[in-house]
Amino acid sequence: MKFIRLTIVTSIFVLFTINMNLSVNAADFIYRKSVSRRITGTITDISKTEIVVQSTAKNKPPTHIPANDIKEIKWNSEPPELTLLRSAERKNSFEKALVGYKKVYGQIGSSQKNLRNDLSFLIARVTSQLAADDEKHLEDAIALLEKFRKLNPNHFRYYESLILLNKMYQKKNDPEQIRRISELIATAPWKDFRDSGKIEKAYALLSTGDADQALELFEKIILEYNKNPENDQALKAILGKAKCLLKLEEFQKAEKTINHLLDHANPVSKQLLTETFLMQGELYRSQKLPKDAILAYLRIDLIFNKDKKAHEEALYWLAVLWKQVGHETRSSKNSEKLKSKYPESKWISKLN
Amino acid sequence: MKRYRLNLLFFLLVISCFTSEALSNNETEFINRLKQNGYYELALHHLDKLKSDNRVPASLKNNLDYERAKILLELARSSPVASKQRKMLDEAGAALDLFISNNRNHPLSAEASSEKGRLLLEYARAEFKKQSENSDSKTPFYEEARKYLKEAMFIFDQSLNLNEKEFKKFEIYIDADDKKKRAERDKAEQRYITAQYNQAICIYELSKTYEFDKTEQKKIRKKAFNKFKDIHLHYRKVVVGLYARMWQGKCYEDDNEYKKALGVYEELLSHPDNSLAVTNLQHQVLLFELICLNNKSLAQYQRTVDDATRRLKSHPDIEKTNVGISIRWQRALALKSLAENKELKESKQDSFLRQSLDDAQQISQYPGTHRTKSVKLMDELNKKLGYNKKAGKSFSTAYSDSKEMLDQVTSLQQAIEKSDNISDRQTKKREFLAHLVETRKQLEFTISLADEETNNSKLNSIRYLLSYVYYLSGQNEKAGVLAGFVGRFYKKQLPDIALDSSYISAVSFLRACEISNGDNSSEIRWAENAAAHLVENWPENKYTMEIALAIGNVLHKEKQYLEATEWFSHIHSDSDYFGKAQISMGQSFWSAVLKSDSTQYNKNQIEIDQINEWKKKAERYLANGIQITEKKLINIADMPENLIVAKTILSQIYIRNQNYEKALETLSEGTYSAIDYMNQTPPDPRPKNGPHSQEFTSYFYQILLRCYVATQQIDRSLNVMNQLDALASGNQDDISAIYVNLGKVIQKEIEQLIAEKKTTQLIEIQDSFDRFLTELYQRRDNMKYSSLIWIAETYFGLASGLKKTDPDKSALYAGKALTTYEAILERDNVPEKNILSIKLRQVKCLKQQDNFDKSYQSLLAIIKDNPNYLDLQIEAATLLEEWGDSGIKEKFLLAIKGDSASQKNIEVWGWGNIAKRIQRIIIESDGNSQNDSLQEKYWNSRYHISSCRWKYAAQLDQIKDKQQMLQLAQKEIEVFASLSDQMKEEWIQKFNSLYANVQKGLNSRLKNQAPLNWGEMIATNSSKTTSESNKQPVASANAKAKAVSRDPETQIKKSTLFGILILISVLSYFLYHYLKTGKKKSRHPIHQLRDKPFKQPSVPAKRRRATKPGKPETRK
Repeated sequence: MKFIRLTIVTSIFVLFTINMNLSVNAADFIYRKSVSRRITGTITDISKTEIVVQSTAKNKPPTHIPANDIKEIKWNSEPPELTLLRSAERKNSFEKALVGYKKVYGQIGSSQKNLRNDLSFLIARVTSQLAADDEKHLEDAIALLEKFRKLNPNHFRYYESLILLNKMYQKKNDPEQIRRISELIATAPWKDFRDSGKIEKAYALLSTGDADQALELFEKIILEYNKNPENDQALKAILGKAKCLLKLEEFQKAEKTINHLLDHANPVSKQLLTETFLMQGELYRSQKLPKDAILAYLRIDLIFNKDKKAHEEALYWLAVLWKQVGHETRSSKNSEKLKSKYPESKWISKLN
Repeated sequence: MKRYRLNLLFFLLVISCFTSEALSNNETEFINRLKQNGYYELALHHLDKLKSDNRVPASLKNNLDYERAKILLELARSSPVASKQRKMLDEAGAALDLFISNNRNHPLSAEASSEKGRLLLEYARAEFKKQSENSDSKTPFYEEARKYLKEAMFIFDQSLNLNEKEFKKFEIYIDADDKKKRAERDKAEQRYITAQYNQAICIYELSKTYEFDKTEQKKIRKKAFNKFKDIHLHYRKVVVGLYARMWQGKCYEDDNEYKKALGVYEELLSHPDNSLAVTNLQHQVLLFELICLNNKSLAQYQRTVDDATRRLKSHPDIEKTNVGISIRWQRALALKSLAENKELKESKQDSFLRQSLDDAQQISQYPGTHRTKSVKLMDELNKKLGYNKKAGKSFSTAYSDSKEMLDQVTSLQQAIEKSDNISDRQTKKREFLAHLVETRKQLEFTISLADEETNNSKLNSIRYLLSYVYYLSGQNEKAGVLAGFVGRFYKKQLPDIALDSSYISAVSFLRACEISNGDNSSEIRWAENAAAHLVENWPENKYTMEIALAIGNVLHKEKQYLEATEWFSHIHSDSDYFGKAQISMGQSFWSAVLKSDSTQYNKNQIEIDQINEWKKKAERYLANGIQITEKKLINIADMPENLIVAKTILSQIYIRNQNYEKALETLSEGTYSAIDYMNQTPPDPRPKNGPHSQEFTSYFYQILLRCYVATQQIDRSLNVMNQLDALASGNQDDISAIYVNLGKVIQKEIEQLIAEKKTTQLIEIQDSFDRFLTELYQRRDNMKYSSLIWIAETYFGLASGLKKTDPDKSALYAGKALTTYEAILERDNVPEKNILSIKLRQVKCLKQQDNFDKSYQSLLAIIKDNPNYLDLQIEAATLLEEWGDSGIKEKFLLAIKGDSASQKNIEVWGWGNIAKRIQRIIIESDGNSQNDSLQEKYWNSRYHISSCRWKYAAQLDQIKDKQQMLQLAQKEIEVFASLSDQMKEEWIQKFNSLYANVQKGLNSRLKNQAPLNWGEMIATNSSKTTSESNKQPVASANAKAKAVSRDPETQIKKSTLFGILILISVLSYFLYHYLKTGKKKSRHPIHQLRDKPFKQPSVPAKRRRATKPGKPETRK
C-alpha cells in the first residue's frame, strides 16, 4: 500500500515537473531594467511604448511593461545560440555577436515576426557599437537604424533605436539630423528618453559652435534633476555643461563641474567616466598643468582602456606630457604602446 | 692611411647611409635621416618635392633620379612582401636606367652601372623570398633568381676587369709627395676591392639557388668561399676584408660546420678596432652567430639571449636598424625555445614566453622582413600564454595565478630582509625585481580579461593589488591613480578594498612628492586629495592618522606651517600617533611664528595678536606632546628623537618669554632629561639628521647656554662652551659664527623687550648679563679664545639692542666688547685668518659708540690690505651711510659714490660701484649657484643707493635740490623695480616702503601715491620666492597703476619711464654683449671672480649660513 501511495505521489510530481518545464519552454522571458526578476509569459501585444505579457498562470491579469524598462526579451522558441550571442555582445565581442545575429536572422522563418524584428534591432545596435570604435561601420549603423525605425514605428525598441541613431548622427557630426531625431525622441512618454533627446540636441548646438546656448540647455536639464544628481541623464548633462565651459575657456568653472560629476558618477558608467577623464586631461592641458593632465589620462590608460579611441588619445597625450615634464623614458614607453597596440591610429602620425 | 681606407670602404659598404655627393649637405643629411629611420616613402616624397622645386638647378635634378633609384632599392630590400618588392625593384631599375641614359659621361655613371648589378642581386633575393613564401613549389623561383644572378655576375665581372686594369695602371711605388696620384690610386684600389667583393657575394647568392642540387650548391659555395678567402687574405686590415671573413663563416655555417663558423665569428667579434665601421660589422657578425646558436643542433638558447641582450643594451642606437631588429628577433626565437623546456616550472616557462612576446611586439612596430613573422609569433605566444580569450583562460584562473604570484612577491621581500650577505642580497633583489615585472604583467593581463560579468570585488581586488605592485616598482603616479579610483568609486560597495586602496593612493602620491624634482605642488595637491578622501570616509582609521601625519610633515617641510597644523589636528587623541602629532603641531606653529618674524614687517595689531596666538599654541601643543610621549616611555634608550627636538624648541619658547627657569627645567627635568640624552656619547660618525646631528647638537647647546647665562650658572656655561668647542672640533670659524649669532639673539631679545615696554625685565636681563659677563671676564686668563669671543659678542649684542633707547649704556657695552676684542688680539694663539674678522668687529664696536671717524680710519686700514673683499666694501658703505645718519649729510654722497680721497691708494667703492660690480658678475656667471647670495647683496646695494639719496634729500635745505635728489631716487627705484623679477618678498616690501617715502617727500599733499610697478614676472610668477600674500598687493598695485595711467600726468611719467627702460635695455644689451664677446670673451666667470672684482671674505656671512641658528624647523 505504501508502495502504491509512493508511486502515485512520485508520478504526480514527475507529471507536474514535465508540465512546468513544458510551460516554461513555451513562454517568453522578459528581463527588466528596474527589477532583477524576470517576467515569464506570452507577449500578446507590442507597441512603441509598452508590451503586454500574459502570464503563464491563467488567472493572472496581463502585465503592461513600459518599453523604456525592457532590457532584453528571450523569445519563445528562439535558437539557443542567441543567448550566447547576447552574452558576447555584453562582453564587447561585437564582431562575433554581429556575425551570429546575422546567421540566426537568416535561419529563422518569416512566421517568427517578433523575433525577426528584435533581431533586426540587435543587428543595428551591435553595428552602432562597432561604429563607436570604428567609423567605417558608421554609415552601415545609420542605415540599419533608419531602416528599423521606418519599418517598425510601433516596436518597443522604436525609441531606443532613435537614441542610438542620434548618437550615430552625433558621431557623424550632422546637427540637422540630430535635431530631427531629437524632435522624434521628444514625443516619448518617458522623461529619461525625452531628456536624452534634449541632451543630444544640446550637443549638436555645441558642435556647431553655439556653446552658450548649449550651456543654457544643459543647465536646464541639470536643474530638473536637482534632487537626483546621480541620475544618468543628469550626469550626461553635467558632462555636457563641463564641455561647454571648457569651450568657453571658463576653466575654473569647468574643473568644478567635472569634480561635481565625479562625486556623483557610478563606476559602471564607463563611457561617461572615460569622456570625463579625457576632458579633464584637456582642461589641465589648457591650464598648462601637465602633471595633472597626466593623471587624468592615466585613468584612461589604467582603467578605461577598453574604449580604443579614448585609449589611443590618452596614450598619445601621455607620450607628449611625460616628455614635457622631463620623463623621456615614460614618454617613449607610451608612444611604443600606442604604436604596437594601435598601429593604425591617427595619433601615431602626430607623435613626431 | 689605414683609417682612411677603413672609412672609405665602410662608406661603400653601408649603403643605407650613402647619398650622392651632388646633393647639398643639408638635403643629404635630411634624406639620410629619413632612410635611417625607415621612412623611405617620405624620402621619396622629399625627392619628388626637390625635383619640382624651380630653385634646384637642372644638373642636380639629374642626380635626384639616381638618389631615387637607390632609395627604391632600399625600400625594396625592407619590403616583407615579395610582390611589392618586385614592383619597387622595377621602379628602382627604371630610375637607374633613366639616370644612366641621361648621363653617359657623368662621374657617377660607372657607379650607377655597378648599382645595376646590385639591383639584379636584389631581384634574385626577392625570388628567394617568394620561394620561402611558397615552400611547396620548388624550382621556378630559384631558376628565376639564378637568371638574375647570372646577369648580375656579368656586370660584376665586367666591373672587376675594368677596375683591375685601372688599378694596375698605377705603379707599385708612388712618391709620398705625389699626393694626388696616391689618392687616385687609392680610389682605384677601393673600386677594385669592391668589385671583387660584389663578385664573391654574387657567387655566394648563386649557390643558394641550387637548394635542390646539393652537390652543385656545395661546389659553387666552395668557389664563393675561396673568393672571400682571397679577399680576406689580401685585405684583412680593411673592413671589406673583415666582411669577407664574415662570409667565410657564413659558408661554414651553411655547410653545417658550426664550430668553424663560430670560431670565425668569435674572431671577428673580438677584433680590437672599435671604429664605427668595425662596430657595424660586428653587429652583423653577432647576428650570424646568434642564428648559428639558435640552430637546433647547437640549441644554445640561453647564450643567444645573453649575447643579444648584451649587444642591445650596449648599443641602444641599433634598436631600430635592420640588424638590431634581427638580433631582437633571434632573441625572441631563443626565448620561445627556452620556454619549450618541459622540465621548467610553468611560471618560468610563462616568463620566457612573456619576454619573447615583448620582443615580438617591439619588432612588429618596425617595417621590414621581420614584421609579418613577429605578428605570427605574437599570435602563437598569445595562445600559449592564454592571452587569447579563445584559448580559454578565464578571469578566475588568471585571478588565482595573480594571487599566487603576489604571494611570491611577499616571500621574496622577506628573503631579502633575512639575507645578511651583500651579494646574496643583491641577487635576491634582482630576483625580486624580475618577479615584480612578471607579477605586474600577470595582473594587467588579468584585468584585461574582465568583462561585464566579472565579479566586482575580485576585479577591484586585482586593481588594488596592481596598484601595490606599481607602488613597489616605483610607478607612483600609476599606483596613485589606480588605487585612487578604487578608493573613490567603491567606497560604498567594497569599503575594505576601498580603504586599502585609498591608503596606497595617498602613500604613492606622497612618495611622488618626495622624489619630484623642482616644483612638486601638483604632487602635494594629489596627496592632499587622497588624504582628504581618507579623512572624510574613514576619519578614525589608523591609516588615516598615519597619512594625515605624513601630509602634515610634507607641508611643514614645504614651509606651509599653518596648513600642516590642520592635518596634524585630524589625529585623534586615542591614536598611537597623537603624541607625535601634538609635537609636530607645536613645531609647525612655532615655525610659523619664526617665519612671520623674518618675513613680515610693520605688522598691524591683528597680525601681532595672531602671532601671539600661534606662540601660545606652539607652547601648549609641544608641552602636551612631550607629556604624552613621556608617559609611554620605558627607558631613555627608547627616547624618540622628536621628544628631544620638542623639548629644545619648547625651551626656546620659554627663553623668548623670559621664563628662563622653565626653559632650563624643560631641558633638565621630566621623566627623561634632554640634557642627559644629549650628553650621551653620540654615534660615530654623527648622523646627518636627528638630535645627534652636528647641526642640532649645536642648536641644543646654544639654547642650554642661554639658560645657564640667564640663571647665572657660570661653571655650567663654561662647560657648555667647551662642549660647543668640542663639537666644532676646534674650528674657530664655526665657533665664532655660533657666538656672533648668540649675540644677535640677545640683541633681538632686548629689542623685543623694549618694543613691548617691559622695562623691569629689560633691566633684569641687562643686570643678569652684566654680572655674568663681568664675572666671566675676570677669569679671562684661564679661558679659551672662543669663550672670549662669546663675551665680546654678547656685549656687542647688548650694545646693539640698547642703541636706540639707551645710547649711553649701548656705548658702555660697545666699549666692553672693544676691550674684550683687544684682549683677544693680545693673545698669541689667535688664528691668523681670524684676525681680520676680529678687527672688523672692533670697527663695528667703534661705530656703535658713534665714533665714526676712528671706526672709518680703522676700516680703511683693513681695506688697504684687502682692497677687493666685498664684505669689507659693504661695511665701509654702511659705515658712511650711518655716519650720514648722524647728521653729516655729505657722507651719504660718499656712501653712494665711494671715497678714494680720504687716504691715498685706498679705494672705498660705495654702494653704486658695489652694485655695478655685483651685477657684472651675475650677468657673466649666469646660472652659477653662488648667484643667490650675490643677488641678495645686489638688491641690498641698490636699495641703499636710493635710500642714501632719500636721506640726503631730507637733510638738504633748498627745495629745488631736495626735489631733484628725490626725483633721481624715484626714477632709480622705478627703473629697478620694472626690470626686476624673482625679487624676494622682504625686498619688495623694503623697496615699496622706501618708494612711498620718496613719493611722500616729492609731493606731500598727495594722499594716495602711485604704487610701485614691479616687473610683470613678480605679479604673475608662481615662484616660491614670492608668497601668495605678497603677490596679491602687487597684482592689485598693477591694476591700480593701470587705472592711474589714464590721467595725462601719469601718461607723461609712463612715457618717460618707457623711454628710460628702452634706453637701459639697449645699454644693457650692448653691455652684456661687450662683456660676453669683448676683451674678456674667453674668460670664465670664475676666473674673473678670482682676481678682479673682489674676494669673498671668510668671516660672518658664510658662517651664518652654515650654522643655521635657532633652527626650530629641524625635524626628524
